[in-house]
Amino acid sequence: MQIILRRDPGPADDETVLIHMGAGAADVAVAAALRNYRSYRGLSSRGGEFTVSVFAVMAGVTEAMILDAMPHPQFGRARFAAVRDRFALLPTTVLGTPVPDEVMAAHFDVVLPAAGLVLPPDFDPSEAEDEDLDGIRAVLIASVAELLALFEPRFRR
Amino acid sequence: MKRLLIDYSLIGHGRKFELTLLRREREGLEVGSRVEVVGDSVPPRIAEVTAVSPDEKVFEFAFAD
Repeated sequence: MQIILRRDPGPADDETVLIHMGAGAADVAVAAALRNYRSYRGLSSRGGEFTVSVFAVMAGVTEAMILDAMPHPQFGRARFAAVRDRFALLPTTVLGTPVPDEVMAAHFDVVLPAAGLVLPPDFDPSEAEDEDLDGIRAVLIASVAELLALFEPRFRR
Repeated sequence: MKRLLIDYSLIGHGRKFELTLLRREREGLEVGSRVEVVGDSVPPRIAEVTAVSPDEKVFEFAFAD
């Protein structure tokens, strides 16, 4: 998975809506964060980042465009300011995905805090034993729960 | 059949996708293997392994349904 950091200051308006697709399942978000960790090593002062994908309704990208591009029957909305106040966001474009370019242009990664985790620079979850990942999952699940709560309630479309 | 949790936010409506698999997830998988794919509120689907990277960490899948 190749990721580039856009020269994008992010939404100019704190009221900008961010969309998190899905029903808000923390285990799915944590699984993706573990899988994709190393893909962020070029954007990180560590060996990677644990992240969750969101999309911003901005710069001509509408909520309808985001929803049309995704198969999830549910989604949640949060204000940009509410997320930014508690998490770092990276304006990232993930290359080579089937997601339409115009929607990917509004993709942001929310960086999950991993307080208490001391990982070596070359840590690679894909090489770790599952029992070694359990402690990381426990830390991430708390961060993900805090993040996904900002996207409540969930809406069906 | 193995069950994989995936984030459809990076797949959208695509028929093919790539995943870096964790050690336990990739055990026993090879080209032609089928897995159950579960997303966040997306109904489960079946996908087939169509390619594996040389380092055997990144698997390419195509939905079989």
